[in-house]
Amino acid sequence: MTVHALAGVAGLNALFLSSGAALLWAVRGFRDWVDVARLAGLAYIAGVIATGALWTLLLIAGVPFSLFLVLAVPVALTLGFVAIGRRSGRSLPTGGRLATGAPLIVTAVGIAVTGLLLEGLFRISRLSGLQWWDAWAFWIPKAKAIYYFGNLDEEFFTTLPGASYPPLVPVLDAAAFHVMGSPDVVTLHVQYWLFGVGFVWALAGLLAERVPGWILWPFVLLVLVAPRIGRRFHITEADLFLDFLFVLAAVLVVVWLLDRKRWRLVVATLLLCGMVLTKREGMLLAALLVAAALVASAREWRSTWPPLGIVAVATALVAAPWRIWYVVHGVAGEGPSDGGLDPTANAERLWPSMRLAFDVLLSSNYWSVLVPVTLGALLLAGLTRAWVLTSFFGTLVLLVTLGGGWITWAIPELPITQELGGNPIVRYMGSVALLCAAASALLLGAAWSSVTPRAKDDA
Amino acid sequence: MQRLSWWLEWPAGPIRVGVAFLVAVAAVAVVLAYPGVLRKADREASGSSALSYADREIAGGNALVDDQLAVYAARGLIPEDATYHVDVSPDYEGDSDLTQGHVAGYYRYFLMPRRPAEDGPWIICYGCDLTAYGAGTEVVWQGDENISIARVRS
Repeated sequence: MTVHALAGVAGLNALFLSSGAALLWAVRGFRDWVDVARLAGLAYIAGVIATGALWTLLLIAGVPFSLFLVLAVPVALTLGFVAIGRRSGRSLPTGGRLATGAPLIVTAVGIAVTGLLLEGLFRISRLSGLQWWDAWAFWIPKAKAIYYFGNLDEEFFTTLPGASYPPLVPVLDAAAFHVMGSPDVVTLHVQYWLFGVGFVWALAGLLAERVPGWILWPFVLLVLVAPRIGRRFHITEADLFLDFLFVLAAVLVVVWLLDRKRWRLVVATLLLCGMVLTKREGMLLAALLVAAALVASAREWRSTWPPLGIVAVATALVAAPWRIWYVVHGVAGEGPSDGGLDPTANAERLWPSMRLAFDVLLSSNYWSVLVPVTLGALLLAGLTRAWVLTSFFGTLVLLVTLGGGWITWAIPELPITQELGGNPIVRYMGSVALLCAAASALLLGAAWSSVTPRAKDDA
Repeated sequence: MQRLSWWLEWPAGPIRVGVAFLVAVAAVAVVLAYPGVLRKADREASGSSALSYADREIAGGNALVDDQLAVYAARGLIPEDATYHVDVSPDYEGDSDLTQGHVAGYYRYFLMPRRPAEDGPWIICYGCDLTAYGAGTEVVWQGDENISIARVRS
């Protein structure tokens, strides 16, 4: 770890932030500087995905991955989005006033306590070695291959374990290596910590629009202290990164169902594209998210299903090039070998697989109290007739859990176990647990505002 | 502070109590876990900073490679554009039973951009029979754990 490497990471992440902020300004605009600060985390994550997805698609198309490309793409995106924003008549943010009184105190305490915890997690990141099998067996070798050879080197990309996994995360790692000046896998942990910080900021910023601070912050903090979530922020693998995108996309989509502000769907589409370029489970999670949105908006299907259809098509189009690449290069596919759709195949595994998924979902050893609290929040929001939120999150939690059971059932090579080295179910179910944090805050916020006149007025 | 009747009035009161209860459950879970997470972060950070440069750089490989000098020797001796082969004897008894199945994968990660190849001129030998590679084989590094690095001259 050198000062040069850290400065390079800082510079790269500033470019992510600038491209994402320009994107949000173009599609949404900013009211004032408080608005900018609130959405800076979402801007950062949007910038990571906009830049990373474009790098990935260019790499698949055969454009050499070099330091020039690493710097040129975010700069070009920033300038392009600024130009779009100017043509759309967006004005620059001015001024801004913070809330006063109790909400300000709650927010200040929440930020301080969260910041202290993130600082502790940074200290883990800054000198961590590369310990995890998946990381040194294929994630980082893929990144090194892109860094050293500037392309999707056929030898490495077709023979490494996880050959069919999409390359967004190795591309982001390779970009970090370029700005560090070497493949410094120790400093790389800081980059992953920054993804975690960006996610927490984005989640809090999005939820703060609709959820009072005293409801919001306990769930933000719960994300950080849950054994299998916050403490893994620095791990240089794609699981948690995928979960970040999934949860932010879910929040954007469900709030779009409530307020129909188009920018939310634009950013959600970008995040869904990031998901399908990150891991093979990303395809499944993206499809289930869209399905839950279709269910939750069935009563207004004429106005909601066409835009959701466009989102699905755009996501599929972005997913296609990588799938074409690996098929052309003879890599085995991402799904179960027999398609995983024959209900009579491996019938004896069906119930134990589903039970395994629900056991993992309900385990407080992994997710603290996130899941039981969400079940209670679903009940309360249902009682207050917050139908869209209740049906969306209820459907999505159920579908993703069933999806976990399906993975174990449809791949007979997977032992039915929570053992991390044998079955990916615990890592996969992290997506539901993280979703539960966002869902609880939104559901409880909705239930509270429906029975509290002042909260209703504030909303 | 709200009056008791505000929390008890029907039907809003029980909803308010339910929301407050669930937020309290989350808050208590945070309060109970928070100090432990900070302590664990301290321990892990202290543990990482106390590592030697080699322990930190090799990290996950420490359980596999048996001798840190071997990976550094391989990186120093094998040119970046050369190919190599990791040959682990079935009889090789390392410090860990993971060595047999995973050490070649670790070298693939550590030695990039060097490429592994079955017929590569560089051999990283874990207790293997170097005579099988022919008379032109020259041992260029020998470690203490029955690990050697050899070059096959054609």
